[in-house]
Order: sequence, then C-alpha cells, then structure tokens
Amino acid sequence: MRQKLWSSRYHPAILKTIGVKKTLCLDAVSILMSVSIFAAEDADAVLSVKEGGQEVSLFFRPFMFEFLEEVRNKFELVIYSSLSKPYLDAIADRLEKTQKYFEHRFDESFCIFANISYGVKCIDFLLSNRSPENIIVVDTSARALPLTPENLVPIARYEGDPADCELARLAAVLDLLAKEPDVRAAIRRFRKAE
Amino acid sequence: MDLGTDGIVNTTRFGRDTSQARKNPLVANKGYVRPVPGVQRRTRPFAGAEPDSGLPTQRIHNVALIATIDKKLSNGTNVSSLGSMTMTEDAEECKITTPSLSMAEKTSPDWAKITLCQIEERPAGDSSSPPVLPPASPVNSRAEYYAALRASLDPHECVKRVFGSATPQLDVTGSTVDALPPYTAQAYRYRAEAFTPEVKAKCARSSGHPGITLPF
Repeated sequence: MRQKLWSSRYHPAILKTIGVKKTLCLDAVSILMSVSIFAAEDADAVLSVKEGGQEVSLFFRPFMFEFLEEVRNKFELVIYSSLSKPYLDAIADRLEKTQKYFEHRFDESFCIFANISYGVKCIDFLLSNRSPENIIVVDTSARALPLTPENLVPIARYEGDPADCELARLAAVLDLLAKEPDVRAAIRRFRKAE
Repeated sequence: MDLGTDGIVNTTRFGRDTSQARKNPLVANKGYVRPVPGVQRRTRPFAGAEPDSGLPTQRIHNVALIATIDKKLSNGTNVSSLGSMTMTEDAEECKITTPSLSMAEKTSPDWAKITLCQIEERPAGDSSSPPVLPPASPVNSRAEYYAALRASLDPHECVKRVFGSATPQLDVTGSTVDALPPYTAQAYRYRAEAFTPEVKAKCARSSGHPGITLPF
C-alpha cells in the first residue's frame, strides 16, 4: 500500500507525516450550521428532540456537505459540542442521514462547566491514544478552547449569509495542517502571520 | 524555513490545481495552465501532481517577478516542490518559505529544483480579492461549484482570512493561570477534576466499548 501510494501520488517524506490521520473536532452550531428555536419556512431541516421538547430549525452553512465530504477522508472527523446529548445526536443524525461523517460524537459531558455559563472544550480525554500535535479543534472563539489554544483553528460564526465561503477557506487551511507534523507549531505560525 | 528573500512558497496547492485546471474550465480560464517561456521545466512529477501533467501549480501576481525567482534558484538554492509559489507585491520584501520541510528533504537529490511553469496572472495588489464565484448552479452541480471555489482559493490568503476572523476576546498565548481571565483560570483549576472516572466511563460508553478505558 505504501509503495502504491508513493508511486501514484506521494513522496515517502510526505507519507511519514500523513501515516496517522489527524483528529478534526468540529462543532455543529455556528460552524456547520446556524440553529434557531423559531420555525422558519426556509430552514434546511427542522428537528424535534423528544427530551427537550423543543423544535429547532437548522440552516446549513453553504457547502457544508461538500466540506464534510472533503475532510472526512483526510481526518478522523469528530463532532464535539457543548450541546446536550439528545440535541447533538439529533443534529448529527440529520447530518449523517445519507453518509456517515463522524467517527465519534462528544457532547456537553466532555466539556468543562466550571461555574461559567458555557462549556469549555478540552482535549485531555482524547490524549490517551492521540497526540496533541495531531488534534485540531475548530471553533468560533478562542474562549472555546482556553487550555490548549494552540490546537484551535478559528472560523467566523455562521449567521445565515447565503454567500458564505468560510468552509471552503477552512478546508484550504486544513489542507495545510494535514501535512504538518505538528499542527500546534503551524497554528502558532499562522497566528503570527495573520 | 527561510531560504531567501525572493518569494513565498506554500505547501498545499500542488496536484489539486493541476487536475482542477484541466478538468474545470472555470479554473483553466483564469490562466493556471500557461507555460512560461524560457523557464526550465521539471524532469519528474511533483508530489501530488499527476505524472503526465508535467506542470506544477504556482500563483504569481506579477510576471515581472519570475526572473527574480528563477535567478535566485539557479544560483544554487534547491527548493523542494511540495507547494506553490506566491509572490507578494513588493519583490524586495518577499521570502521563500517551506515550513513543512526539513533542509535535508529540500536538498535531497530525489527532489527536482523548483521551476516556474504555471502562472495565475493578475495585477499586483489583487491578492486579497474574493474568489470569483460562478453563477448560481443547480443542486446536482454543487460539488463542481465547490471544487471550483476551492481551486480558486489561495491557501495563504485563506490562512490570513481564517486566523484574522478569530474573535479577539482572549489572548491566551503564553499566559499563566493567574494572568488569564477569571473564567479561563477557573477552567484550569477545575481541569484536574473535570475528567473524573465517571466522565471517563462515559467516554468508554460513548465509543461503544464499555469496560475499556478511553478506547477511541
């Protein structure tokens, strides 16, 4: 397999860095879609979650499925959100209606709620058999991953703009990171270059 | 790694653009596939490029800057061709960087010297212009639309855009716990308690392998 890859596409030097898939943690709300508790006719999907009893309208970010399709082969894709498990499962189930994208789902129980009003993400629980240099967390705010900010790739919040192209831009950045031996060093470098 | 002062090499666009340029008229029409007269062609395919294409992908803002790069490289600088070359507007201030590669990789005889075969010709100062989007497409061509959009994006510009979009609410780089805002410091203090055996058990259950500690 290794020889075949090299003969067709990759140099061994690249294979060294892509031998292990990096883990990409995506949140659902504000990144892949916007969510409203109000009914909307133009919503891409409407979910009713039994446990919460609340219907929510989902507005998918432009190119969301194309983005997921592109990155799912390059990364170990994980959905990691501070949503409760019923809501996260409902959203993930809707996204994976025709195609499985996410290897794992991590809900609010994997976030830290330390007397603050929102869940802080933390990659500690992933580290038993993953290296921090191979973990990327995408979120809209640096506050989402305060403990290991060097693993955070920011993205602008999605608020319904139909001309939004941020997922395509994010995919271009992830392409760069996929080839890096240590994503943290690359992210620090990107921040300086900003 | 900084190799000089003449250009910027990024490490992503090889292969993808060459294939896109040939398949997608939207990209090809923008001038990706255009040999530069007098420029040495490489002797073997670059990583990621299709063997028969014979063309790396490089995006250069100003054709007049080509000679500067070519001269620099022909003076002995080997640049591994894992990426594309992007020129900034001011040739005096440009740098060549291939951060994902070691010098050993760059100077390995396995690698061809960088050559300039493809150009996206556009006016200096146009590097930040948004991608030209095709007109509204039917749903069944969304994948093509996305592929064209992706091919039209410059990764360097995307890095600036993506990391420039970060909400400047918190700068934690190099901070100590005491210097952090209160909510972050709290998170640090609670960190040790956050992932108790109960939470770890949840992790095990969510992965479908109860009884195994953090198997995912």
